[in-house]
Amino acid sequence: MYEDILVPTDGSAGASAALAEAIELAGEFDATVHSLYVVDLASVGTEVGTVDLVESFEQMGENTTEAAATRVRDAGVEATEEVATGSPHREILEYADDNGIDLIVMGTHGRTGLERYLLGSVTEKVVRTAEVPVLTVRADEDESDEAE
Amino acid sequence: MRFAVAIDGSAESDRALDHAVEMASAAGAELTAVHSVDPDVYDAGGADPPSDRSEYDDRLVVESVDDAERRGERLLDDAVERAGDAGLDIDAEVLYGDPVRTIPDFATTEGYDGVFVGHRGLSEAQERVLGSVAKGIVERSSLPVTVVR
Repeated sequence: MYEDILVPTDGSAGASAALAEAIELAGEFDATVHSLYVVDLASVGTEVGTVDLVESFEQMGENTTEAAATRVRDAGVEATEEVATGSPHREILEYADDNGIDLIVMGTHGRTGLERYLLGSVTEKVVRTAEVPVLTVRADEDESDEAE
Repeated sequence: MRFAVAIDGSAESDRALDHAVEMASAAGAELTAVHSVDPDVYDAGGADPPSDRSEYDDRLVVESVDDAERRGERLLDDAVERAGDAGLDIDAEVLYGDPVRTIPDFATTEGYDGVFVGHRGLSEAQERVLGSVAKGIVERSSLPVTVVR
């Protein structure tokens, strides 16, 4: 069914919930979980000291994907990790294309009651433009907020 | 495991159904096709968004609850048949109201493990005008939602 599952990660609770779901699915289907961190150049800017900043973001990306991959391997699932640089949603789609990804798993913020802010902008763009199925997972599962 | 798939008769909904059937078969899970009867405004069109005002008028029509209900039941019959052809027996469920609300509420209340929904792949501008049931379901649902193009 699914052989290569991509989980873009930024170290957030949403990404962590997405990773948990991906690990479960990958275990079910004997798939590989790909962890990807994208250094967003737009958020870094082009001021003096940018090179250092990009490097520290890249370091953070490596730490984040390494932690994710370790979590995947600890669950007995095959893992790969990668840090890319650019516009997050474009890099995610490009990685998916290049690596034969057949499912992208992403977190939503899960701030109940503020529905229009629930989807992160990167998740929203990936959902809207990805050619492969996108599985969205809510970080906050506080049921009491769900009742209306 | 139990999954629900949103059905509206579009090509995207067929693809979501096919994907959900494949997934449920592979995972040994149960699958329910759900359609929400929502006769307020009704898009009779196809995969492409309406291009101008007159096309909106042709496509977006208000219909009777009875008509909408009959159409929904027919769509679900088709979905059950399509899944059966792919080798999976699935259930069907008619809901009433805005699918963005009724489908996540139904799936959560009934203890489903996830929802599958098709998506047209609109541009940001098109989506602002037409809205997106898929996005609405993703935003509303506390369950995992798989969006299929």
